[in-house]
Amino acid sequence: MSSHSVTSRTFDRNARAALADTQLRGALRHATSLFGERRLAAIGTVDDWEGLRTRAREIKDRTLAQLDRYLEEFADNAERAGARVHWARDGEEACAIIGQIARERGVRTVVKSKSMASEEIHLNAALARLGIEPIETDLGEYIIQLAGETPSHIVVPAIHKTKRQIAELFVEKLGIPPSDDVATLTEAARAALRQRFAQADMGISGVNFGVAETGTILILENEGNARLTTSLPPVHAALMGIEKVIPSFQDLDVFLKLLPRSGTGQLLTAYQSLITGTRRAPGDEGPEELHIVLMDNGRSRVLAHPTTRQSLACIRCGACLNACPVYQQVGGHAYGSVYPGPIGAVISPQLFGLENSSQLPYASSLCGACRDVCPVKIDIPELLLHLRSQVVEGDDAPQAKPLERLSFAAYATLMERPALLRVATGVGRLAQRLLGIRERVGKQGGVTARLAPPLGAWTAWRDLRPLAPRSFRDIWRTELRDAPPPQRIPAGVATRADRSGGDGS
Amino acid sequence: MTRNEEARRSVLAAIRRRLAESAPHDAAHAQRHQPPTPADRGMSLPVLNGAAPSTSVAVEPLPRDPLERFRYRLEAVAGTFTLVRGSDALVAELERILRSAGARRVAVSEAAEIRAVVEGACERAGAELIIDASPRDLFDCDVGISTAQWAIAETGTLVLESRLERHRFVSLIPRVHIALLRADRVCETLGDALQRVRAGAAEGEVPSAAITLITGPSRTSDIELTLAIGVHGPQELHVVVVEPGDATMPDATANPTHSQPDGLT
Repeated sequence: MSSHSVTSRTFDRNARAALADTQLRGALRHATSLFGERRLAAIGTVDDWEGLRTRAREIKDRTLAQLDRYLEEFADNAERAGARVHWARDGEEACAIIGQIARERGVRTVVKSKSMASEEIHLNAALARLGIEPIETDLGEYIIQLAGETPSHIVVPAIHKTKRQIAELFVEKLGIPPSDDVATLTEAARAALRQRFAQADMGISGVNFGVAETGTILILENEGNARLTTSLPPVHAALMGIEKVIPSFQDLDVFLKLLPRSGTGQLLTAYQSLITGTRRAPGDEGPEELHIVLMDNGRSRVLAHPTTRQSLACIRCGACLNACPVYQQVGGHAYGSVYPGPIGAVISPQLFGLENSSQLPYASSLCGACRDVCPVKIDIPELLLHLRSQVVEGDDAPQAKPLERLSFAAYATLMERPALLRVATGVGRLAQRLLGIRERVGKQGGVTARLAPPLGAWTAWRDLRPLAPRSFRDIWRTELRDAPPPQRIPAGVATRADRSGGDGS
Repeated sequence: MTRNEEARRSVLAAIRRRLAESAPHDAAHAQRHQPPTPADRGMSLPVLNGAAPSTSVAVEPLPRDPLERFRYRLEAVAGTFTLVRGSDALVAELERILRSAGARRVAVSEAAEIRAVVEGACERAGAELIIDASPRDLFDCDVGISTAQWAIAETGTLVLESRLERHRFVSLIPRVHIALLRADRVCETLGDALQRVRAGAAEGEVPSAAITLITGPSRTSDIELTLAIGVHGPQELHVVVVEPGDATMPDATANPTHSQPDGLT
């Protein structure tokens, strides 16, 4: 799955490869069901989960509607507390800013805590070009960095790797004796990374929330590596997407209730670091310099419509990944983007261009499970449809567009003209009888016959339903219109619909 | 204009321009996304996979007393809890933990009031006490002892504020962290605790430079979702709670230079 040809342009091929990987699918099944159960147990500890979600969304909507104002307030307060705030229009500029800070301070070793925003802008590669070696310190990120791979889950980056693969990796890279004991492997990583923390000249982190009222940044984690990253080295640079700002300190209560419960099923993660500026007295712990990089990188563009704007409410909990029947089968790498799963399928095309991700809005059955679990009530199916319409209307439509146009034009013509529809269905019924197609054929009681290409693309995965022997209009006209109202069907009597196994469309 | 000023203006201008573009669509969207009325709910499809009502989960009855509830939640995340009264009992309890941890080198925060207690305990447990340990020293310590300013009953969480506990590394770097907490510093909820740390900063003042919330020892599930305790932070977290009114226990929230909230839980 770490193949370099995996891009978001080739979701169909990536997904097929992932489906053939039984080890991956086993790991995914285990992880997503476990997270699903834990999440349900954790949200049961909140009296009014629905109300909490509604409040969170209201806070996000209110903030995004006046994002300029709240960002200015955040930046001013952070600077008043001693932080330096940098503004970056895109990823390249953000990388340049952080590179510049590192150069000015003569930084050689950088420790990093998990940050999806830094993955988004390929910060590690940018720093490597400056001769700086950033060390990922989150255990999962460390594992995939050693393996030269990319994260496959927002919360558990190495979800796709078995402990055996990790053991082999550690034997090779860390020189430890072989072991498949998780505690031993964890201990080996701890020991190796302690060295790095002790040497580091600079720490780089992401930001979960930025509080406008106080200029505070908040980072959640379980391992303690983010605490070390943000407080041990003399310089701390925090990369923050502009959508991370929330108005008040008290709003943290809402989001700290939602995020850990949705993400890992915890009431709180082991550590929250609330950082407001730099240390106040010489003997205090904490970095001498705090740099906060406020990054746009396509986010402001998404504000231009309320449907797309809601994707900026995302708090990166990963609940939609675990709930998604597509993600559950194919995993994160198939999406070919740093943001996988349902939220990735809407964020990636918006931030990185639809032309690079035109398959992603189709990586969904629109079942709505993602919307149901989203702690900030993002209507992901609505967004997916919105993006699909853009794919179809755009110049980069992937499939045979003229044919699709023609088919839908023909469909529209028929549907708008009842007389024509009657004639056409009559012809269809006749053809059906002549070809001997009966009703009960195929998996769902339809016809499994493959149509010729290009219509075969439809029948490859679905049964084609035969036309009913008589149309409802006909039955209505000849039998039902003047008949007495039907009796209610007593309970326990099987109806035709029951026997035929439903719709099958 | 510097690059940063230029970028600031440019980002803010882009935000304003896009929000203005959105304005004509906003009302229609808001109407479509009205919260459902009870009538709508009656007609809506069953919710899949998710936002299930809390009744679907059997919830154990929680202790009514906030301190007991804190204990319940702390123990659920693999922390230990002991309640002591009097300085002798405190020294004895610290000695017990130091012995069971096999402590050789112990680092302590500088809070002068607790130093006497910790010194006594280290002496009895035969451990070396490291005063003013640098981070490098801390890498060689087995145990770190700090105060905690607040605790949260709802989640089993400790709150350390840099304004009042300057030494948070002792709570992070050694294998074992022992936190001393006053029994009357337990907040009911996370919201209450946030309110208190916010109020702790005087009017117009910023909150502590670093506020650390600690819920149990360091943990990870990054390898096959198997829980491993103690990855970068401590493997053990012991909370020793001291009954209020005990002269030997410092007021960990007190700081003569700052105003204090009153009316505590």
